[in-house]
Amino acid sequence: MKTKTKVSITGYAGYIPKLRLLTSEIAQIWKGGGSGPNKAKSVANFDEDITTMSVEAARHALIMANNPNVGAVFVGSESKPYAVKPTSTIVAQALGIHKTLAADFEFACKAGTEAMQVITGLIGSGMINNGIALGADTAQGRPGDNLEYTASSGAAAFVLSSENSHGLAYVEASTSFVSDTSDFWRRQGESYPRHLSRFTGDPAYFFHVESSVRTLLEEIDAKPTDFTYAVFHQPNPKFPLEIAKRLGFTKQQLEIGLLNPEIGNPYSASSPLGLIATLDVAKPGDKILLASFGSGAGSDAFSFIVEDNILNKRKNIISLREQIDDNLEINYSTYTKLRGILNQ
Amino acid sequence: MSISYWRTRDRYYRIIGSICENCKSEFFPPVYTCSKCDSTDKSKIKDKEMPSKGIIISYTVLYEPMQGFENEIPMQIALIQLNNGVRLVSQIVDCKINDIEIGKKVKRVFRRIKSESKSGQIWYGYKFRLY
Amino acid sequence: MSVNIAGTGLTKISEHWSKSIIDLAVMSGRQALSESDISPDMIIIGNMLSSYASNQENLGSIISEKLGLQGTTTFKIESSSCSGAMAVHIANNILSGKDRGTSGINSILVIGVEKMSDLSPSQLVQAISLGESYEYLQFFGVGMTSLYALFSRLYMDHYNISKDDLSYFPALSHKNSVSCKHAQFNREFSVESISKSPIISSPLSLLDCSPIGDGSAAVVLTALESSNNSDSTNVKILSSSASNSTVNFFERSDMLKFYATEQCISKALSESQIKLSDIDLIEVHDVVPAITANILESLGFSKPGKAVSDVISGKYNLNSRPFLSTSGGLKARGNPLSATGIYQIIEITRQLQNKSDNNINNTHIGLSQNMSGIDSNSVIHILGVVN
Repeated sequence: MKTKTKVSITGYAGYIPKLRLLTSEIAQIWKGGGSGPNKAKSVANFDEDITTMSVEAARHALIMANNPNVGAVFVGSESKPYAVKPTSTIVAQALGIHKTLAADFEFACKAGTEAMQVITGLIGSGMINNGIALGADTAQGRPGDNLEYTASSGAAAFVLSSENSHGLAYVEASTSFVSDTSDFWRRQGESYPRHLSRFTGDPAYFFHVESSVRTLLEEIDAKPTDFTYAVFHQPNPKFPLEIAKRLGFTKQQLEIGLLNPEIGNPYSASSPLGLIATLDVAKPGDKILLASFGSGAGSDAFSFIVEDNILNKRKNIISLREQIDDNLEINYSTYTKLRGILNQ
Repeated sequence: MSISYWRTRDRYYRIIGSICENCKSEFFPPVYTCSKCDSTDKSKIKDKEMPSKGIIISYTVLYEPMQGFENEIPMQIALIQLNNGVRLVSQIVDCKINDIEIGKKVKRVFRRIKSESKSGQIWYGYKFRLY
Repeated sequence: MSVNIAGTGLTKISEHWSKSIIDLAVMSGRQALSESDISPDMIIIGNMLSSYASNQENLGSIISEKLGLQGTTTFKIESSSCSGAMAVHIANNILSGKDRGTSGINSILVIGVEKMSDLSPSQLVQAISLGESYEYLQFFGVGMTSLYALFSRLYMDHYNISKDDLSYFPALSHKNSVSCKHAQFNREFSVESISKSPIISSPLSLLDCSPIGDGSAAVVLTALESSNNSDSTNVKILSSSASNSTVNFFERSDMLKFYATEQCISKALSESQIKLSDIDLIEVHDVVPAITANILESLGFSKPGKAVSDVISGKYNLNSRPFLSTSGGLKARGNPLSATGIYQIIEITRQLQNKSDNNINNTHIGLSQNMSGIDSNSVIHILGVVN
């Protein structure tokens, strides 16, 4: 899919909560030792949720974008505090924006990139000039389940804008591929999701990501080697490396955007935060692949081309690397107390 | 209290106080008249968003909570002087108890203040963290 | 025209599980009426929590009826924790006004009452904080004790005074309350045990802070020439002053200055024509030590920053004038919020009449200072014997 006019990312920001839980703490309780597939995961504090994280990310992204007039605020999440009441209007109020579209999206871990797709379309059609796409989650794993190692918290915000001189990276093209595949789900009223273990691999993650990326590559007539970087959805440290291999991308292309080992999987913010880590180091002319995956299931794939302005705009922002490194470790009992509070 | 929260939400989300159009003094919480002005019309007051950064000038760690704050004990509360001289009292989050000292820099964050109950509304507002 | 204290009455300060707010008010009201043998023209109730803790308003009419008084002017006034003293101040103003004669108001019964112990612990934290901003403090979980704590740390840092040294004030209060029958506490605590008691809101420990309790205290004030109780020393109000200041102490230009208290003492001394050195007895709003110290300095009894070193060196105790908190003050006698101001006035009255449980001979003049919040309102009374 391509827009008729150019659409660029003009601002971006990630928010990673300060608290960190080492997976060895979890493994100690449930297995008597060892650790999970990732080293640590980010944990939302008692007073954080997707709304608070979205506000923080959006505020900083707007600063980078020079506070343009925003016509859409979309928040993608599967851990909304309200089943009925949009998070996006709270975010809009906190940003002082009223004459805007606002909606919450849900598509498991691809709700954030979903928001990016729709805003790209709105801008490309000329309906709006600027929009904020947010992916945020305070993912919860059932205690003792494997998902507990990786389910984490975080938010990513992108300000997308129409043709202007402030673009940091423009959208060359994007695709989306879906099917009815229930690899992972949560019924209304349930606290924790359920999943089908190994079924979440080939029929779910790998099939949909491969499909959206191959469709994209065909559409823009590109090869994996044309890309400087590739960012895939990261449910664990292994899947992105495996899909990269199958598609023909290298580990080097993935490294900078592979955050799962350090922060786990913040669901709707997972691949978006990987993109942000990449944008934090990218140079003008770099070509970046972004491919998300959402259970249920589907994948969005994007190709971004980095623009010249990226060198100016990165100054005076808190990099993702700083947020990842400046953390406060907690133990499993504190984590349990916090989880109890989040569910209240 | 939900309606009282709704009425005050901009002030909670963006720390919107007042500025006197005559002498440019700033106030938070908002005021009806300027207490610092020499002018004859002391009620030329407009809304103004307060600076998001400041320093700690006093602090306390609270162990006996008000209703709705039982989960937050020990609660770290500071008297903060914002960069425009305005002082307010707010909670400090994301740090260990001994990390707080007079003179340390803080910046505003958007957080949950409390929720009426499991099925009630969630109330958001300002807190601060060290930076 | 002098206003005399014709009768006093009070209940013990305690968790009165079996007494309601009305019960307590009637108890103290009856005693005061009986001692004065006067039928008042007006009844003023000082109270803060009747809605929050007892689901009851219209206290003036309800209590007056229970006392068998009808056909009077009666109402409740509220000025947070100094409601009792403020009610006395208003009564004094009415009785000493030049229109009093034509108004037909010759005597006023003033009852301060507070019923707190029906509330849960976390409700109590809010109850004592109701006088502070709901929208910008209570809403955020910041209560009165935390505000006292923020003030205390500023005071300690500014004058370089330690937490342990500040605890000399509550230690003195507990020493004084031992023989007082109506005090909430009758036991002494060492400075160390006070300072090391569990922290409520740092740096304040549990025993640094005045307690929660129920109580009621009442006085009958009269402008009538002769008191009916001729075997009792006549105590009159030499001056009564009230003032208000910025509610949030941290918004003041000098955060440690009690502007309202300073204005009151200045008015009080000039109105009564007495000097600070004439004062034998002092009752202050001793909620926490740093505030006690700051009040004494604002009143002029100690130089700025010196109240703590003064009390450590023996000033303010029962061996040297002026005598502070002779029945334990708010800290040990107790602090049933709106009733407190009247307990203070009654303590001074009974000392002057040589009727106190902890009697000190040869006292002639006493001063009471009561406030709301951290000096948002201050009320000062100076009482003296009439020859």
